Amino acid sequence: MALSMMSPLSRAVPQLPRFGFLATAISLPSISVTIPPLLSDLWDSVLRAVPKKKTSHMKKRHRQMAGKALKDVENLNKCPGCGQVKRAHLLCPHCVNGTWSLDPRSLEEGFAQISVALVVSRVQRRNINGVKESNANLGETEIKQSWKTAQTA
Amino acid sequence: MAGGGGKYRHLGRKSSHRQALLRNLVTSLFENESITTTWHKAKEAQRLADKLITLGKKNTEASRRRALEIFYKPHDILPKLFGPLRERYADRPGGYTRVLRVEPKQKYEFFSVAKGNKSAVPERKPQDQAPSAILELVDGPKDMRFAMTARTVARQRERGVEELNDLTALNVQKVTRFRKGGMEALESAISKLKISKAAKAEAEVESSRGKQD
Repeated sequence: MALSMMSPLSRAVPQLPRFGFLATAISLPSISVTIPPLLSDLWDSVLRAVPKKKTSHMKKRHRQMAGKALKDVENLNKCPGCGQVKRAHLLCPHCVNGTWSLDPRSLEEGFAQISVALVVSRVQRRNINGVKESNANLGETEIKQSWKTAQTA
Repeated sequence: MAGGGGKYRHLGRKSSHRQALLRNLVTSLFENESITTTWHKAKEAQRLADKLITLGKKNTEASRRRALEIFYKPHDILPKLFGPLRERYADRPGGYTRVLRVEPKQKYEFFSVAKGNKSAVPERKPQDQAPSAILELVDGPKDMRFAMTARTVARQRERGVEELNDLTALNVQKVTRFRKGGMEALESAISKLKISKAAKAEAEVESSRGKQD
C-alpha cells in the first residue's frame, strides 16, 4: 500500500535531479534503468516475427498444391468398335493399338474358357501325379474354382 | 498467334526450326500415310500437307518444283504425290488429310545399352502427356476412321442391330464418299474383321493349350 502510494512520487523524484546539480551522479544509473526496457521491447517485437521452425517439405507441398488436385475424368463413353470405356472425342486406345476385340462379352467368354481349361488340366495333373502344385501363378478366382472342381471330383 | 504474328502456331521454335519440323512431318506423312504426333503439330502439318496435295493435283512444272523444295526425300515421294495420290484425290474437293485425337502414349522404350546387345532390357520412361493426334491421308491404306467405322458396323451387325445411328451413318458416308469402290471396300473390311476375330479366338485357345502342356 505504502509503495503504491509512493510510486508516482518516487518516479518523479529521480527524474528531477537530471537537470539539477546532481545530474552526473544520479542520471547515469537512471538512464541505464529506463532505456534498456524500451530497447528490449523493440527487439522483442522484431524477433517474434521470425519463424521458429523451417516449414517442412510436407507442409510446403500441401500448401502449394492446395486446389491443384487432379480432376476426375468424366467425359467418358463407350467405344462403338469394341465396347470398352474410352474418353469422349478421343479414339479408343484398344482399337488404335490393335489390342481389341469386337465384343468384350466374347472376350470374357474366351477368358472363361481358357481359365476353365487351365484349371481342369491342373486338377488332372494333380490327380495323376499326386503332387500339389504351387498356386503362385494362379489367380484368386482360378484357385477357388480349382478347389471347387477338386472337391466335386 | 503469339506476339500478333501470323495466324499459325509457332510451336516454340524459331522459323527455321519450325520449317524443318514441318518438312520432316509431311515427309513422314507422305511416306507412311499416317503419323502420330502432338495435336498442335498435327494441325500445322495438316495445312502444309493439304497444300502439297493441291500441288500434286495441279501437276505442273512449277508445282513439281515447289514440292521438290519441301520434301526431305523428294525422289521417293514426288512420284507418289504426282502418281497415286493425285489420282486418289482427283475428285475430292479439298480435305485430303484428317486429324484424329488419340490418347497420349503412356510409355516409350529406349535402350541405355547398345541395341546390338541381346541381353539389353528396354527401359521405360513416361512419355510427354501432351494431347496427341493421328494425322492421316484420307482414303489411304492406314485410314483410321475407315477402320473404326468398319469395326463399329461389324460390332453392330454382330449384335443384330442393322440400323446405324446418326454418327456412324455420317462416318460411313465420310469414308466411302470419294473412295473408289467405297461401299465394297467397307464391306470387305467388315467381313475380314469377322474372319480375323474368329481366327484370333482360336489362336488364343490354342496358345493357352500350348502353355499348359
